[in-house]
Amino acid sequence: MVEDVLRVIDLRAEFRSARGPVKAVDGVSFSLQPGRTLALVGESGSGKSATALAIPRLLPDPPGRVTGGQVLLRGRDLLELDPDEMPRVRGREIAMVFQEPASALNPVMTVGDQVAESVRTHRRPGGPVRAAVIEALARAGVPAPEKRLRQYPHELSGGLKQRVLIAIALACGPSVLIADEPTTALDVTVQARILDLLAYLGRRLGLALLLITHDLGVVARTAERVAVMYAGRVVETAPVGRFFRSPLHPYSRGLLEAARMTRDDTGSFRVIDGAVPDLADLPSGCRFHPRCAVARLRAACAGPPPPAREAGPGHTVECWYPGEAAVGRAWAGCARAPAGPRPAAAEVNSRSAGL
Amino acid sequence: MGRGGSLAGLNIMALAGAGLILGVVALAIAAPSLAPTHPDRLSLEESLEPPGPGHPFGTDYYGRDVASRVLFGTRVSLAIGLSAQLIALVIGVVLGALAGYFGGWVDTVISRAIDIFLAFPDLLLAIGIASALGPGLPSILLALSLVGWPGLCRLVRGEVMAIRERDFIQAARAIGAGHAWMLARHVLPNVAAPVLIASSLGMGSRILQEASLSFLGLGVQPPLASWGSMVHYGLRWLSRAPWLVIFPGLAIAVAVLGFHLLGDGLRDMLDPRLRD
Amino acid sequence: MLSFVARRLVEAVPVLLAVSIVTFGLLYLVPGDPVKTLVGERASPETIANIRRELGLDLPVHERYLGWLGKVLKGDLGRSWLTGRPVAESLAARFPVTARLALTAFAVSVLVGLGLGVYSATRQNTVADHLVRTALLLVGAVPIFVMATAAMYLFGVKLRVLPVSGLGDGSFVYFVLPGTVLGLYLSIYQARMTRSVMLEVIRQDYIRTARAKGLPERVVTWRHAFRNALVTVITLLGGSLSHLLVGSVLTETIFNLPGIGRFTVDAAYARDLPAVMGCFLFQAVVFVVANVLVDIGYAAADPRVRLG
Repeated sequence: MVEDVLRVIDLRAEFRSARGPVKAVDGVSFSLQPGRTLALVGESGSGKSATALAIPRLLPDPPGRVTGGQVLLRGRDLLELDPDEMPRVRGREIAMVFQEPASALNPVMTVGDQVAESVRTHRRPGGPVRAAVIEALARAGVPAPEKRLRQYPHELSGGLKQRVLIAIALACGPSVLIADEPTTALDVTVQARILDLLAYLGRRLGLALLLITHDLGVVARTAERVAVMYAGRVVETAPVGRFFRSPLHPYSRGLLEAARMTRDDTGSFRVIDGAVPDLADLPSGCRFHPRCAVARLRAACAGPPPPAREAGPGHTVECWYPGEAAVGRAWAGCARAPAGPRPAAAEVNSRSAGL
Repeated sequence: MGRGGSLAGLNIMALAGAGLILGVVALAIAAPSLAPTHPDRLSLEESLEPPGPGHPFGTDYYGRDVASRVLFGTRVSLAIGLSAQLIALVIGVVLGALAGYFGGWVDTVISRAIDIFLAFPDLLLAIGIASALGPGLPSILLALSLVGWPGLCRLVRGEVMAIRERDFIQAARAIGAGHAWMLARHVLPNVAAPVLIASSLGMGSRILQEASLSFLGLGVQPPLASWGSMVHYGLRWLSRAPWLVIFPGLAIAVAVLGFHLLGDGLRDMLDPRLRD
Repeated sequence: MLSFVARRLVEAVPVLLAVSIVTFGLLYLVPGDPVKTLVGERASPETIANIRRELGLDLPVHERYLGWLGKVLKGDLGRSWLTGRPVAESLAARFPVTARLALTAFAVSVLVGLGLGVYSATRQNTVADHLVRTALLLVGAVPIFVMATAAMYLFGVKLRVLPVSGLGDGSFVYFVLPGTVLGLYLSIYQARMTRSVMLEVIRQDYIRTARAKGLPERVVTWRHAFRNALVTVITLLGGSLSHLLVGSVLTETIFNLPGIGRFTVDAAYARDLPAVMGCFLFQAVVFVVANVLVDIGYAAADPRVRLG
C-alpha cells in the first residue's frame, strides 16, 4: 500500500451570492498517492474547480470561503496553517496548472523571468537559476528553451504556453500537482501531447497528480483512479478499469453513456435529462434524484441523502440503488434530446460529458 | 460594490446625494425668508465680525452678512450650473444621436469636433472664452456649455451606435419607421439612463468650473455673487477672516458632493456593468 | 513600435492645427471691434492703427490666419498689449516655475494616488477600503482652490511653518505647499483609477498563477498585479494631465507663483489677448503632445504593443 501524500477529508467550501451561500464543495473526500493520477470528473458547475482551488487555499475570498474539512499534506492540515505560511507550501509542495494557458501567464513578463521566479522563490541548494530555468523548460518539452527565456507569452502558441506553465509548476519539484482542465483550451492534437507529458512526468517524478476534467477520454488515457463529482459531492470513486466496466452511480452511467454516444440517425445527442441543480437551493435527499431514471419510482431517493458505501476494492458510491437499471425503459435517463433547437441544459450536458 | 447597500431597492449613495441636492435646492428657494439680512446690506461698523449669534457665518469687510450671501449665492451657483448643463445636454444629445444614428460623414465631422474640444483642459477653454468675450454671465454659460457637451456627445454617440444594431431597431426600420420617429421613440429612451448618470456628475463639474472661474475673477461679476466669487473676494482677508472662505467653500463642496453621490449611486443602480 | 510612434505623431498634426484654429478664433469672440473693445477708447489713434496692422485686421480671414500661424511656427506669439514684451519670451521665463510645480505635484500624486489605489484594491470591501473610498469622495468634492486656501491658512497663517506666497529665492521649500496641494488633488483621480484597474487585474488568471507559484502576497501585488495595472494606468494618466494643467492655473494664482498658469490668469484678467492666446496655445499644445507621449509610454510598457 502506497502512502497518501495528500488526503482531503470532508472538504466544504461556499461562495457568497445575492441568493445566499452557494455550496460549491459540500463534503468532498479523496486521497492522492505519489506517482498516481486521480481524475476528478464532473460537469461544469459540479464544484471540481472550486475543490482544486480550495486545496492550496487559492479560492478567491471574497466571494469564496472554505467552511470545513481538512486538507492533510503528509498529515499536516493546510487549512489550519497561518495564511503567511501558505506561500511556502504553494509551488514547493503543491503546484497547479490551469485551464487557460492564454491568460495564465503574466503578459508583461518574459517567460524566463516567470519560470525563474518560481525557481528563486523556493531555492534549493544547487546550480545557478538560469540553468535551472532552462532545465525546467526542457523537461516540460519546450523546444529550444534558451531562446524562449527572453520571449513574452504572446509570442508563444497555446500548447507552448501550457508547457511553460507546466515548467513553472514543476520547477521546484512539488510532490502534488493539481491540473485543472489543462487541455480544454487547446487544439485536439496538442491536447494528447500535453496529457502524455503530464502522465509521463507524473510517473517519472513520482508526482501525485489530481487531474480535473470533464472528458472521460482524458480519464481513460491518463488516470489510475477516478472520482465523479456531482453538485458539490463525490458520488462515486473507483479504479479506472472498474469504473469503465461497471459504473454504479446512475450519474456515472449517464456520463459514460453520453460519452460513448456518437450522433445517432436523428442527428441529435443522447444526454442526461435536466440540468445541474442550483447549488444555493439543493434538492432534498440524493442530489441527483430529480434527474435520475432509477429514482423515478423510488421514494427513498428523496429521503435522507445516501451514505457512501463500499462496492468493491477501492470503489465507493453514494446511491441507494447502485447499479440498478431503470424501471420501464432500459435506460430512461438517456432521453432522446429533441432534434432542432436543443434546450440549453442539454447542450451544457453533452459538452461537459466530453462530446 | 460593497458600499452599494440599498434601501427598498434604492442605492444609499444615490439617496444621500439626492438628499443633499434637495437640501441645497430648498435653501436656494427659501433664501429670502431664511437669510438673516439682505445679502447686500452694508454695515461698515460690523466689518469682519467673526461668526456669532447675530451673524452665524460672520461678516465681510463691508459688514455684509456672510450667511445671507452664501444662501443667495446658492441661487446663482445652482442656476448657472443647471443652465450650462442643460445647454451642454441638448447639444451633446442632439449631436451624439445624429452621429451615432447616421454614422458616415456626419459621424466623422461630429467626432472630430469632439476630439478638438477634448484637446483643451476644461478651465483653460473657459478662461480663453471669458477673456475674449469679457467676463459675465454670457461668457460663463458659453464657456461651461462648450466644456460640457463633448463628453455627453461621445457617450450618446456610443450608446446610439450600440442600440442601432439591436433587433428591435432593425425590425422597426424594416416596417418603414422614419428616422425622426426611430430616434425619438426607440433610440433616445434607451440612452436615458447613462445620460442621467453623466448629467448628475456633469452638474457637479459645472458647479466646480463656475466656482473656479469666478474664483479667478473671470466668472460672476459684482453685484452678483456666487460661491466662487465670494472665495475670490474673501481670499484677501484670509489671515483676519477665514470664515469668508470657509463657508462658501463648504457650500461648493456640499453641492458637488451631492451630485457626485447621486451620479455614482445611480450608476451602481442602473448600470451594473460599471460596478466594481 | 517605430511605426506606432510615427503614426501617433502624424495623428497629432490635425489636432494641433485645430487647436491653432480655435486659438485664433478667440479673437473673433471679442464683441464689436476687438481693438476698440480691448484697448479701450483712451488709446491714441496711432496705437489703434498699429495694433490693427500688427493683427492684420485689414486682411481677409484666411490670410490673416496663415500669417499668424506662420509666425507662431517660427516661435513668434506676438507682443503683450500690457507690457509690450514678446509673449514667447514671457512664457519661456515662466515655464521653469510651472514645470517645477508640476513635477513636484506629479511626484506627490503618483506616490499617494497609486499607493492608495493599490492599498484600497488589495483590501476590497474591508473597512480600510471603505474609509479610503469615502475620503476620496469627500475630498474630491472640495475645489482645489478651497483646499489650497485651507492649507495656506493652516500652515502659513496658523502654524507659520511654510512659506505660502510667491517664489522667494526660488528654493524647493516654496514649492512644498503648492506642490502637495496640487499633488493631493491629482491623486484623488489617480487613486480611483488605480483602484478600479487593480481590481480588474487581480481577477486575472496570471495572478492566480503567481499565487500558485508560492510568491508572497506582497510580490504578487507589486510585481505581477501592479506591473500590469501600470500599463493601463499610464494610458489614463492623460486625464490627470488635464487636471494638472487646470490645477496649476488655480494653484499658481493662490500661491502667487509666477508660472504660466498665473500668467494666463493675469492676461485674461487684463484681457491682454495676445498673451491669452499665447498661453492658451502653449498649454493646449503641451496637453496634446503630453497625451501623445503618454500613448507612446503605454506602448513601451506593454510588450504586446512594443513587439507586436
